[in-house]
Amino acid sequence: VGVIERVERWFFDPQPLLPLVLARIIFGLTLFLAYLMRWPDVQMLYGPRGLPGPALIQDLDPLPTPFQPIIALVNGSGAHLPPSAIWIAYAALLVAALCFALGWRTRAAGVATLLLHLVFVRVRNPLADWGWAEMIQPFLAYVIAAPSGRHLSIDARLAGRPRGDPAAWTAPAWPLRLLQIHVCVMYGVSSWGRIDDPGWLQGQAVFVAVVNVLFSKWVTNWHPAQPALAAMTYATIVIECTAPLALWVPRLRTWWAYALITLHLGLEALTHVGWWNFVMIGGLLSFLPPPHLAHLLARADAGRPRLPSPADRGARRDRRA
Amino acid sequence: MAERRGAKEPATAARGGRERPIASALLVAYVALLVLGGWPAAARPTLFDRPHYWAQLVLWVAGIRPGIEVFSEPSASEYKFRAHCIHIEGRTSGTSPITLHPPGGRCHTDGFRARVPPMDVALYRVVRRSWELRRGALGVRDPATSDRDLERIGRAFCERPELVSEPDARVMLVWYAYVESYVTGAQLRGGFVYYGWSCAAGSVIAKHWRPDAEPLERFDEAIIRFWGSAPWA
Repeated sequence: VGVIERVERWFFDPQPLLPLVLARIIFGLTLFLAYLMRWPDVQMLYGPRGLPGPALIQDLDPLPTPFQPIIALVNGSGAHLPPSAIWIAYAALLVAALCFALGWRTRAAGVATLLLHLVFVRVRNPLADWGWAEMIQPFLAYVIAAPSGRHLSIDARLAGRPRGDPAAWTAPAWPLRLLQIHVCVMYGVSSWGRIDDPGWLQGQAVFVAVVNVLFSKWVTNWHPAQPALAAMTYATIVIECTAPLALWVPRLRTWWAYALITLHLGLEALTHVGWWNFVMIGGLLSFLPPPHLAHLLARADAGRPRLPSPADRGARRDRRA
Repeated sequence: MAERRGAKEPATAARGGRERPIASALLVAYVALLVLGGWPAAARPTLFDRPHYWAQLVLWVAGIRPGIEVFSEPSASEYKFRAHCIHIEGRTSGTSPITLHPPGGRCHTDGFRARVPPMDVALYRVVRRSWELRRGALGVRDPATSDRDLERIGRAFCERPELVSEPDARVMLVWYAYVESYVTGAQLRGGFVYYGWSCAAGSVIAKHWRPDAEPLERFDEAIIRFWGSAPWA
């Protein structure tokens, strides 16, 4: 009974909401920008006469899944699917993702974003993206399940909800817990899956990434930097392999989360891995102490240009007069 | 009003009291699936191989990936890929070849690049998958699906405005790559796939794959002879 109660409390006691509110903004903006940037190629990537073709999904996903009826519904008409349907779905996804990030009709916008993203990634063309497009799906679902639109949102503004101390915002723990666990499982898969790869063990993996135009932002002569890149490879192995455990140790959690965020920022500066780093940083916020996040939020807020209040406008009018 | 709200509270509490154990059990089951499904072979006792397989299957059916491998390509060989270039051009009898991809006809092989165009990723993934299915690198040799992947590209580019009204349009594709020695820094260029598709006939007109054992330069020379010229040079 004690264990069951502890499990229940672990999943349902109030926990900080701020990480999920920030993750909502990051995931919403990530999807909005990712899709916005591909508008010149929408029909080629997803259209009825583009790369997907009627049989691509069948070739990639031959076993039945819950998506098969949707796939049949959307793709069943094959080449006869009008290109305008793709444009409508694309525009709807952009609007929904932006609404989700801004927190307007948050949950409905989140569900629409997730479903439309699934249509593009799983139903139309799974080969149009790297793995980030798949990993964002469950992460997004956890954030939608939480009341992540309760703060820093248009919904909160419309409801006249007082902001209060962001570090004190709370909600039932389970969406946060699922996000935390999935982030750890993700690092377990990515790091332990390559632990026996000689390239990683010989310290060459980061070199392989930065020297390849497909993944590298800066393709130059990286040979003189081989020792530094080897050190980065080993640091990555250590940080990622230990993350699934270290992120649960209270004394290590914050340090490991910051180390992983630094790793992803470094990767973002050097490489192209789609929107992978933003997805993982959004997930890693769930391990940072809320006061740290509230402090970052306050600093971001201080630098934000403010719209003049009615009182300011009145004062300005008086000065002019 | 207050009375009615007060009357509802015990019922809500009782329902919450019943729901929490069920919800907790479901959450524990989901977490167990995630952990089992994502447990990599390198850290997994063989005892858990079968549960791992079933957990992966259940998650896969639900469309959930426990995790993905990033930069997982084997990287221990001396030569590392520096650039993948997929050059696609349209040809008609009356006009000179029209470059359809990459825009501007230049494959990016050096310098800074702020972003990789999504079309580069999609084309690379389709061509690469076709290559892997042909070689059996994904665990199974599947030439039919491999052919369909390239056919997709042929058909899609036949729909481009430059070719769609031409009666004898053909789409030619070449995937070539630059590799770089980890030891000396020396670079090599070599082709992997050469492919031609007739838009009007809807059929393949040329298809060449670099055999595994073929040195990169020798295959290029053979294809240049076959093609008559090297459109990507």
